[in-house]
Amino acid sequence: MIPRGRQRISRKLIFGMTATGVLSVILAAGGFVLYEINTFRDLLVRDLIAKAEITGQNCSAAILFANKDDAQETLLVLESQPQVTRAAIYDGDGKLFVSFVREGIDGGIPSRQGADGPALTSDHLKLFHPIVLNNNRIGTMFLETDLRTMDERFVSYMSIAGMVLAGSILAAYGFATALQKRITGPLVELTETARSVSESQDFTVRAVKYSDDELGVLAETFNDMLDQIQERDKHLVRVNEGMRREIEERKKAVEVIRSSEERFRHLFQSHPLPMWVYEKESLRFLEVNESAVKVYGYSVAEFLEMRITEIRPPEDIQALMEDLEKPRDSLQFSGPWRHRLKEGTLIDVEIISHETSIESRPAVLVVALDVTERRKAEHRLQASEERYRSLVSASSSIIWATDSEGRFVVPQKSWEQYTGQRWEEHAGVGWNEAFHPDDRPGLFADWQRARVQSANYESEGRLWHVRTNSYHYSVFKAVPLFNPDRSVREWIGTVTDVHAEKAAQEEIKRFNAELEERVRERTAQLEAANQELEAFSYSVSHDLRAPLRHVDGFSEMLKKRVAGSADEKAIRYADVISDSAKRMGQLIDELLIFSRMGRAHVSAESVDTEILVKEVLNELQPETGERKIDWSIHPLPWVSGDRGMLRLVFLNLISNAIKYTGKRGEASIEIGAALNGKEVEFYVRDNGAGFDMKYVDKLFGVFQRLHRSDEFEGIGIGLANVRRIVQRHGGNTWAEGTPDQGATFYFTLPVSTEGGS
Amino acid sequence: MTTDLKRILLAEDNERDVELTLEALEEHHLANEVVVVRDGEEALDYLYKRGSFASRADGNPAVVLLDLKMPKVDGLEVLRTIKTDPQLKNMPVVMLTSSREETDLVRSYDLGVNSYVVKPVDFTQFVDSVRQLGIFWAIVNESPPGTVGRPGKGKS
Repeated sequence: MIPRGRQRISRKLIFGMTATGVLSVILAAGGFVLYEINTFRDLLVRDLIAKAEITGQNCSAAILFANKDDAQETLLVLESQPQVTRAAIYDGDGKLFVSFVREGIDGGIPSRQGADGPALTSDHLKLFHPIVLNNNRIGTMFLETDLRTMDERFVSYMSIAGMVLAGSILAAYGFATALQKRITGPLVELTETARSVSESQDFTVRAVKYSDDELGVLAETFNDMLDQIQERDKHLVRVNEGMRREIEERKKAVEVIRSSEERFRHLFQSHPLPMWVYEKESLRFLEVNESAVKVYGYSVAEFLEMRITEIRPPEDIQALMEDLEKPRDSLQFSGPWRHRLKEGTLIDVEIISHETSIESRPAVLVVALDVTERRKAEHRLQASEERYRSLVSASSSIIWATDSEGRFVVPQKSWEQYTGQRWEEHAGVGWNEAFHPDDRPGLFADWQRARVQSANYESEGRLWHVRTNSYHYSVFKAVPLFNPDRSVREWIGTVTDVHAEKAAQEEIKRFNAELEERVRERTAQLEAANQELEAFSYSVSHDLRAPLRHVDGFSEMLKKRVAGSADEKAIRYADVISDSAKRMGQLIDELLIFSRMGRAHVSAESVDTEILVKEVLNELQPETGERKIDWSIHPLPWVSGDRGMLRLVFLNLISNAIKYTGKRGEASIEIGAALNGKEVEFYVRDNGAGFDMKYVDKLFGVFQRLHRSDEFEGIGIGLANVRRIVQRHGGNTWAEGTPDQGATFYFTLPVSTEGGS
Repeated sequence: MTTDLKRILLAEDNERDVELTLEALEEHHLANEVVVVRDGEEALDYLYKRGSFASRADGNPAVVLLDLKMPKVDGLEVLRTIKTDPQLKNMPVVMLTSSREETDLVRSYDLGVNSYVVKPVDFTQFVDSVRQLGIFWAIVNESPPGTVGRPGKGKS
């Protein structure tokens, strides 16, 4: 859409230029037409006059001779003139002589002659013209023509003028349009540029200069103006930025002031010490903080109604007023004063006051320090110090006090009583003489260390005990007491006689040494016994087996010898001898294993008992192959122990279970474990022959059997091995059973045993 | 088969064990070339051709069966002597003993014993063990040079 302003200017321009052209054409054409019409009219009049002259002359003879026919004939000549509508000739007397009226024309001829000269009516030109002959007027000629030719001509002029006008309008419009484009084009562009500048606020945009005429100048000027605006804008931005920054800084400053004010107010309000501000002149409270409210018991509102004199006991007010009169520093410490709380209690306070002003009125900021407790403490301290002084000098147990250098400066009664050193002997560092000479260097070194570090002193040594006439072991302790500047003022110490304890300790030490010696001896004995045992089992292993082998071997050979004879008894005897020898061999082997279990080293490895049990079950497969056994094996843990020995434990227990369920149609064996505190408790349960609980103690003994060997095979050493192995791992074994119902064997292994040796 | 038999040296102080051992070897016709000595000293005398064996024929036995516990010089000592003598050390030595003690086993292997057999109490088993020993060492095993029954130079 074209903006209105622009539409207007281009239209205005076109309209103005077109109108100018048209107007000038109209004026020119109008002038020309008017001139032409006038000229034509004059021509018509002259022509009419000429016609009248000629016709009059031609008729003059007829008039003179009153020959109307001739005159009429002459008049008829005029008929050839199409514009002549009427004609008449009047005689000298002015009477109508002849006339001519063209056919189709209404109206007649004026009967009497009119005034000479042409007369123009709306559509006709009339002329009365004298007819002169030899300077005598003989008649008058009347002619009338219509103005048709003039109208025709006017019309033709007007149409020409109209055409010229139309052409010039078109030309003017075209020219104006072209001109307008040349003039307004750059203008429009300029306007567009200006608009875009104003809309986008982008002052870097520049108008294009197309020519050197005024538009060019305008664009140039516009650009110059933009330059300036841009410059100004930049300047303005800078100024604005500066102003914004300044405003921000002021805001910050205000914020800082506000927050610092708040902080100070907060500091004032939440300061742990009671604080207030009072007006100097009226002594009225102006501000009080929370602590003041809390300590004094008045509410803020109550405070603000009060004067500072009202928190004083009446008898102190005089002194207060005098104090206030005194010239004071801007920061002043005063006190102690007594202040009265709302509930009436008097407290001791020290005051720190500071001159200030609130709303330009002189005021005083007061911090009140409650020193009641401190003053009480001071009193107590004084009393305590007195007590301590008298205690030290009066004490019968050894309490001593030295100066900062460790010198006795006053007689130490208890020291004197214990050591027998008189004052002149123990004064200064004379106390050193009371120590055992051998202990002096050590005591002195400890003392020096404590003195250098100003730290507590503790040492031990032998001190002369006058009553027993001997040195007694004693413990010396001392603490430094400090001056306010942290330098040591004095030392206060004690001496504790530990002679009896020391003696007891010595005794214990001696006992321990004896005990250790005895343990060593016993260990050596045990080791010797162990070695003997080893030698014994070695000889069992080697020497006892040899005769058995011979018994078996020779009875076999004997059997072969007598095989031929029919002495069956002899053969049976040889069999018995041979069996017995074999059985004894077995017993010896088992005993050797059992004995080895007691002596062998128990290693401590991580053992997965679940895998161990699986291996044992595989191993026992041949024994169980045909039987129907319902195995119930629960998840089993890792333990720490000797894998080989633990394998033997499971092998024994499981093979027992298999063995004693041998007579069950449906044997069931359960193996499981449960964590019980720091131990794992394993169990192997069967529904076999079981046992009577009254024999439970015999179960784990060597060669102890609860069943006859013809019932269940075995030599009765398996459970003894189990117990020994478990014991060596630090665990326990026990069993529960009911005859003919089954048995459960338990053993524990420490969760993380190191495996004893 | 017997013609190829190589000599076996049996060092055993217990005469019953000797008898049983010989019986066992006899059952399998391995007893012909068994030389029995009754203690360690005699065993060494035999090996070194000393004392009563000074005039024996040259050549080392195909295997020495040694009892562990013997008077004078025990089996381990004999084993040590054999295995430290460059001339003898290649000769196979088998411990044939009653001892199941691990220390004996370990020490024997430490000294370089070629095999270690525990004499079972059960005679049948004993016979079987000795038979297998005899067959293996006296027949199956290829003896080192210098062994009786093989071409080679005897030891003086």
